[in-house]
Amino acid sequence: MRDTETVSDHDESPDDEQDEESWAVDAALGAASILARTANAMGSSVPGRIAASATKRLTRPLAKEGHEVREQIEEDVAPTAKRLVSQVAPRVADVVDVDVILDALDINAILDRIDFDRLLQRVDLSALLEQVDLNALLTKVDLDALLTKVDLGAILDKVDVQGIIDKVDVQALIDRVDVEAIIDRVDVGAIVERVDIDALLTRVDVNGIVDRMDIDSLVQNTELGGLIAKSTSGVASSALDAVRSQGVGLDGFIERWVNRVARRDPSKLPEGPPLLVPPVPLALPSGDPQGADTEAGVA
Amino acid sequence: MSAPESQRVAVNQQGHYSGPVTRMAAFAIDQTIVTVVFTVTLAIVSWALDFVTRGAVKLSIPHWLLLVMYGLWWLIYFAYPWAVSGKTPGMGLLGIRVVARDGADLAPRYGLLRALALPLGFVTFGLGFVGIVIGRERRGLHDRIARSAVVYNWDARAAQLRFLARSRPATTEQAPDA
Repeated sequence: MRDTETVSDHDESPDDEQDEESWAVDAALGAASILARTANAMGSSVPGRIAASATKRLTRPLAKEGHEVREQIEEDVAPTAKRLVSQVAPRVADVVDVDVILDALDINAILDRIDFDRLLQRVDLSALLEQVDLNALLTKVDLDALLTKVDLGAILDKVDVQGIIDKVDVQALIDRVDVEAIIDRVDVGAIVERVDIDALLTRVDVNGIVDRMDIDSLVQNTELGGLIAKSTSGVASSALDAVRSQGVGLDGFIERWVNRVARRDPSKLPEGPPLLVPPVPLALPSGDPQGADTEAGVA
Repeated sequence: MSAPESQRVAVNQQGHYSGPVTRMAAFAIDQTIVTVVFTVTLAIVSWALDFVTRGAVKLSIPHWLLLVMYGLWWLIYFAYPWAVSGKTPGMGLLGIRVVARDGADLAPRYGLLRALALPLGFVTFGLGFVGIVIGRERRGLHDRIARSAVVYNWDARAAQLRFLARSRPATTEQAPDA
């Protein structure tokens, strides 16, 4: 019963609980509200437009006065607001625990939503890398620890590596890297242990290498010659070599004279049976059909 | 021709048609072996017969039979090596070998045919051997009949290395002592 009377008293006499200033503001707001409803009710009728025009003309001095007051307020409040923010912001930062916020965030979900390719396409990597001291950066980085934590496969699957390579000036990058320092940090022995030497040697043309060696000079000027001489020091073999060599030389001497007398071109004679000495193909002059006919006639 | 130059020529001639000098020298060696072996064998047989019978029986062979026996021995001496390995002892010493015209191994029957045809060169007063000197493939009459050719077959490269090893400067060996 007491509550009902209190509410009833409050509804019937609000002016008893408000001061004079609050009453004036409420009255102004009430008048504005009634005017707004009235103008809205009149709509776009001719009397409404006449009333709105008359009201605008009558309240122009009031609007001018209000505009000046608003500008004055902006000029006075802006510096005050800046001072207020500068004083409050550090205290807010002290109060906020960033770790708690980061724990609450799902970093992986955020990373999954990022389109790295599109991001990298918008970045001028060459310009970025030119500003980076790579050598200083590499000396500070614990590469082993970093690589053990990173799932390189997953990252590489998401990245358009070829697109990145196309955008990077690799030569300029290499020029700036201290290769000697990197090599000093590399365990070459461990790398060599991982190399399949046998597979490597199968790809080497050993016969080609031997063909490029000057065996004569090797035998004549090294201990290898001594070994050969000791292993084949027989007088009989020496004599046999000499007889055979002289025989070949005399055969050649007779052949040259016979060819000279018979007016034969030695280069066109077969040197040996085709299975033992494959014939050298004739070099025909290009664009000379008559010459080609001549060669064919000889053959 | 100096030794190094002849060695280099020999290396370059490996597998090429053999010339008349080498072939003639090889034939001379073979002919000597054939004759010496035949003569010594006859002498040994004659001496053995005389020794066993204490002089009661003297070996007396008609000339025509001797000629046939020598011919058979001569044929065996040349035909068998050519059919088996392509070279007689004399050819082996001089480092030459008989091959088929295309360079393949000579078939045994052509080895026998070559031995049978070889005397034709002598019968024709040497004309059968002219092809060895002036022919494009250095083939004589017996080579044409047996479809064969003769090539250098010795390891001239090894011989050249042996020569270089023997003629290497003495300073190379004496360097450790110095």
